Amino acid sequence: MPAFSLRSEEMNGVIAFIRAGFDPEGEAVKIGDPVRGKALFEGEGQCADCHRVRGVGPRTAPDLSNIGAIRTPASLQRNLLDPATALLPINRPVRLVTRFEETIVGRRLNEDTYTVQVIDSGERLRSLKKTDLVSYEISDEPSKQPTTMTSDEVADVIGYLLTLRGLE
Amino acid sequence: MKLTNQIRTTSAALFLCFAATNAFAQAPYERILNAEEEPQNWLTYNGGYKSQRYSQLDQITPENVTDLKLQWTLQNQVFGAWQSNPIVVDGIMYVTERPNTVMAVDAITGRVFWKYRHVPAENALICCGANNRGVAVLDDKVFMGTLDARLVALDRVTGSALWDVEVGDVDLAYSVTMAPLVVKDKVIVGVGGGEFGIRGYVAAYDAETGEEAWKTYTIPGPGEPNHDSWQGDDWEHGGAPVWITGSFDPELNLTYWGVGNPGPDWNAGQRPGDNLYSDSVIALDADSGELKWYFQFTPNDAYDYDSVQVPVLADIVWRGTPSKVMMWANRNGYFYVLDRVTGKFLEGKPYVKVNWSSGLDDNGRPIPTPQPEGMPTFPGNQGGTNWYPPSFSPRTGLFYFSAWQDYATIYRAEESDYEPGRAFLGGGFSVLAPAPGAPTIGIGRTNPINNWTNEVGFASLKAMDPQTGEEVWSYDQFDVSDSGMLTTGSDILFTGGREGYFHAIDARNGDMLWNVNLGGQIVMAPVTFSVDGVQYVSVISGHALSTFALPH
Repeated sequence: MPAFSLRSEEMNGVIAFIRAGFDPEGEAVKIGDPVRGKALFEGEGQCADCHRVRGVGPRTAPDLSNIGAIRTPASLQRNLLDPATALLPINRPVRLVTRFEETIVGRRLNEDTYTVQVIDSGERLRSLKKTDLVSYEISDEPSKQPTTMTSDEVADVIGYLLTLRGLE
Repeated sequence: MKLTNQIRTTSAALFLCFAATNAFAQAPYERILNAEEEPQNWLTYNGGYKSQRYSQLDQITPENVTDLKLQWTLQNQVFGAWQSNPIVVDGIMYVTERPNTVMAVDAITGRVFWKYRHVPAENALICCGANNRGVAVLDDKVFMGTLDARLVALDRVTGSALWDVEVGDVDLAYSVTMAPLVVKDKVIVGVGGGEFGIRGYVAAYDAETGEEAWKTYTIPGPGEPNHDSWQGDDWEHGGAPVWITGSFDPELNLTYWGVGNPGPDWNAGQRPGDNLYSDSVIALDADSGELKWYFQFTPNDAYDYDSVQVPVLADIVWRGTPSKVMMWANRNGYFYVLDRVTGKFLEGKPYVKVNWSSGLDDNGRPIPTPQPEGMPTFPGNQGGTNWYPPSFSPRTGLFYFSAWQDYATIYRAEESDYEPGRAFLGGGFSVLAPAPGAPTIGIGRTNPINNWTNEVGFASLKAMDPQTGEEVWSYDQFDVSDSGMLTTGSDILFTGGREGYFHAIDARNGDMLWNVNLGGQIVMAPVTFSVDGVQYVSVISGHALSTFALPH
């Protein structure tokens, strides 16, 4: 690719456009270092306590092995900073109590008028008929609080997540 | 309809992520090894390593089968024949959809947990349909072969991809359409492409990593035994694909595979010699892939008599002697009983009209009687039978399969040049028709109107006695059938056909007990399983997978 002769404010503008996901209405998102991001993901960020990447980690929260291929940087940032607005409705935690006195806590995979499919806290796939339920709660609160990481750390984690593009 | 007690809670119902306690039930090798003792599940393509497609479940009986009620239907979203064979593990059914999508389905409600889609390379080439015949499972993984000759491993709980490796070169028209076979810690597949001049093989991959463990060609190379059954460089593009799941004998440590046609398909004169190991059964050591024995059904085949059938194993008293046998209704029109320890020919008799051979010699080798040019050969190109799985019932002692009766083709041989990735057929054929230009039959059926009639061929479900090699009874259908078989512990035989009728037949005597019109061609065999004490039977007809059970 040839070198461009842009003034520095023009260069900043181009970079901001790219970081906003090529969307002129978008927000430019800082993208940090993926190596530091991976360490944070697995360590003090506590992401790996719930999420699975490349076959490692619990299956209870969504698998992030290809998250970098399906989400924009802005969407990843929003998920960390303001999960209440970012979390997809289907991923909100659910608690089901069956008429056989079993309590199931988990995350929905599918639902219809008469049945609901979840992965439970024991990582089992469960399909329940709604006529077998005595209660069915869908939490309005997301499964996690806004992150307490610094903005540089968030940028690093985003950098790492963007490298997760499934099997190459 | 909102569930009245489905509430949105504002209390922090925080979702605790436990370090994986993994209460989820595993499917270790020990369970696969003893699959036949777990009739509530369907753990391998044919229900167990002997491939008998026999289930001990007996809740559904000849007396109550007419009470069967549809429990659920799953429809697929893809046009074309749905040849997938479902696997059921602990209440979860794994089924594939064309060309390469895996779904995890709840066995009681038929609703889908997850779906994984592999998109084959655009230049993937197959002769006979973008088919996938199903998955294999081991531990917490599920494995699928792909049209672009890859093998993919997925997490069984989430459907995420774990590894994805090349099995063959898609540019040379290699493909994988069969359900893999898991043996110990390996996943084994064969390759398709017999119409494109491949050199076939069976290969095993480490289940954890996808690394190739062994690869055995179905055509011996220079210096290998039986390489001289080919001349010149015919062996390099001799076909001999393997595209149906084989069987395994753990005591002998042998895997058994049916090998397909030599190439070019219809010009045997272009490849003189027996063309080993095309149209053979091969016994490969499970750990090393080493060839231990072979038996060839059709040497120097001119008729496309792929021996790509399921090897059905049984331990029976054969003519007074306890024997480890293999039963095989071959595409070439003969029913064989072989000794599976040594490959020795025990018996072989025609089950339909055969005129390409006048009989089998004492070693099971056919005595060729090729028909004059322009005259029909019986059985025809699609064979006396084909790839769809048979069943053996240890209760009745009978072997059941779908035969095409009174069906013939006129073959035409032409000189063909091999070009990489192009069809290498050596001529063609036409199905014998009752009048000039009359409609005939081929692969699959999409027309609800049968205007070719049974004069072009018809389905004969045959019950064969391995003791005699002869038919004990048959149940005929008007059209031909590409449906496999399932037998149960209450002596029911379940099968379908091209007309879309799903049948329950008395396995003892061939009486038709019950049938239902599901409306689309049934091109795989049914499976049976049970969950919470209820027996279910599932079958795919057209684009719908339907599951039945007794009222409960």
